[in-house]
Parts: sequence; structure tokens; C-alpha cells
Amino acid sequence: MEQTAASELTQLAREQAVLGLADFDEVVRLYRPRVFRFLLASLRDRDAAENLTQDCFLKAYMGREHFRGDSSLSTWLMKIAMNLVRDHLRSKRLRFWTKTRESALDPVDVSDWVPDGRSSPEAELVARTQVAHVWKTVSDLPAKQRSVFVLRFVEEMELKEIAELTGMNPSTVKTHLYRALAAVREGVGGKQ
Amino acid sequence: MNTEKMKLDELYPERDAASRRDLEVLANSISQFRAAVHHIASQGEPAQVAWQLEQARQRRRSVRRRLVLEWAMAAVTAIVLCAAAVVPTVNSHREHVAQLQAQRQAQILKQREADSALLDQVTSELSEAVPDSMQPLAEMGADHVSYQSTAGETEKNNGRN
Repeated sequence: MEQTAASELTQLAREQAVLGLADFDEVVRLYRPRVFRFLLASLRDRDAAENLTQDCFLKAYMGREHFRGDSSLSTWLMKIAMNLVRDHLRSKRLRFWTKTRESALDPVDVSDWVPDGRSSPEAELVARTQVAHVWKTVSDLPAKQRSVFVLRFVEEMELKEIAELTGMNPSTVKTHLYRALAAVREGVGGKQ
Repeated sequence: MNTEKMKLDELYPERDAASRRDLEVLANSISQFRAAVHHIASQGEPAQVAWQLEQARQRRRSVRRRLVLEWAMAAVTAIVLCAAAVVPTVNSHREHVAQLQAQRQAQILKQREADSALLDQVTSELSEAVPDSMQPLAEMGADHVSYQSTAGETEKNNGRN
């Protein structure tokens, strides 16, 4: 009985997810910030992130008939975004003659903005330094570790969701996250 | 920041004060990093995010075209560079071969000259006048030679007959 109810609920969720694609403008409005944020944090390049966000929704729009609702709409879109990041990095590596884009974000620019008003200039400086260190360390991480770190700590996704999105098993996700954190911890000056 | 601490506690179940303080710093840094990324991402967002399918398609097409052009340019550049590297190598190889051939011919000429000089030397030494004391022997030798040639001719004539 419970099993039937659960399967009905799953079916309902799938149908809702598929129906959600019907109004694509709404899909873009809802998920664009998340996709853009993930791409920006992964690529550290505003122009590339904006272009790939467009590509992501274009791909989703073209492939909307293949979406069966096995995962949530958000996970599906993030999966497309992750694949785009992978392709982009690969093609960037191959196109070694292309000069570095001027829109690449600098850690110093990033740290110019500090979340909340600090009590003292010293505290603000410390906060800025910390943000710059994290940004720099995350930029230097291997692609998989960076993706897992961004999904967990910027997008606040659960390990299970990340595993589903990346196609890795949860323990591998945890290992990547642990390594990324160890690097960030070292970057901000903590012990290993 | 509390959520960061909870997430970190899952991964680092450390209990001593120093580690806790260290983790707090890490959690704080990550929290600020997230806030900074959210802020930067929201800053650049256009006010109206209407879905512009045609624009996205055009951009995709132009990106593909640019990619093809870039690869073509890279291929042409590579070919030009290869040619620039290969042509002097071929030329220098040809020059080297010609030089070797000239050297070889010079050697052959030198060798021939040396050989002819040696032959001349041998000829001149062999055609020295026979000393008086050896004259009878030389005459005997000449007789023997003329006898042999006469005998040979007789045999030939006999053979013909």
C-alpha cells in the first residue's frame, strides 16, 4: 500500500517536473540565477558564464522532449551546466592560442565586496583577505573538486544531489569535497 | 555560517579547541565566499531575463563559426611554420649532399693523379737502360721472346693448314 503511494507520488513529481518545462520563460526566470552563479564560480569569467548560461537554457529548450522527470528540473539543468563547463574547459585547453579573456574575475575584485558591515576596518580587511584566499584556492582546484565544492558550499546542495548530478557515488563526492576543503583550509591559513 | 559549521562538522569530527577555532575560521571564510559569489552573480544580472531563443541560437551559430575559423587559422599557421622549418632543412641537406659529392670527386681526382704518378714512376724505373754486364742476358731474353713468337706463329700457320 505504502509502496503504491510512494510510486504514485514519484510519478506525480515527474509529471510536475515535465509540466514545469511547458512554461519555459518561467523555468529561465527561476533557475537562471542558480545556473549563472554555478558557471561564474566554476569559470571565474563573467562573459563565459553568461554565454554558457544561454547555451544551457538553449540546450534544455532543444532537449525538453527528452526530459522524463527522473531527476528534478534543477538537477537536470545543473547537469547540463556541468557538461558545458567541462566542454568549455576542454576546448579552452585545446585552443591554447586564444588569449586570456579580459572579463576574468580577479580575486581582489571579488574580495572588494564583503557580505556585511564589519565592526572595524581590521575585521573588514581580514574578511576580504579570507574571501580572496578562498577564491584563489577554489580557482586552483582540479575541475571535479571545484564543481563539488561550489555545488556544496555555494549552491548548498546535499551530497546525494551532487552525486546524482555528477554521476559519482556519494563516497567519491565526499572524497572530492574533503580534498577541496583541505586545500581551502590550507589556503585560509588553517592546519591541514 | 551555522550551516557551514554543520557541513564541516560532518567532514571534520574534531573536538579540540584549536581545531574548532580553525574550523570556525574556515566556516566563516566559506560563508563570506558564498555571499560574495551570490552578490557578484546578482550584480551582473540583467533586469529583464526574458528568454531570447533566437538570440541564443545566433550566438551559438556565431560561436561555432568562430571556432571553425580559429581552427582553420591555427591549421594554416601550423602548416606555414612547418614549411618554414622544413624548407631550410631540405636546402641544407641538399647543400650537404652536393658538398659531399664535390669532396668525393676531388678525392677521386687526387687518387687518379696519384695513381698515374705511380704508374709513371714504375714505367720510368722499369724502362731504365740495361747495364753492360747484363747485356748478354738481355739479348738472350730477346732471343727467347722472338723464338717464342716465331714458334707461336708457326703453330698458328700449321693449324690453318
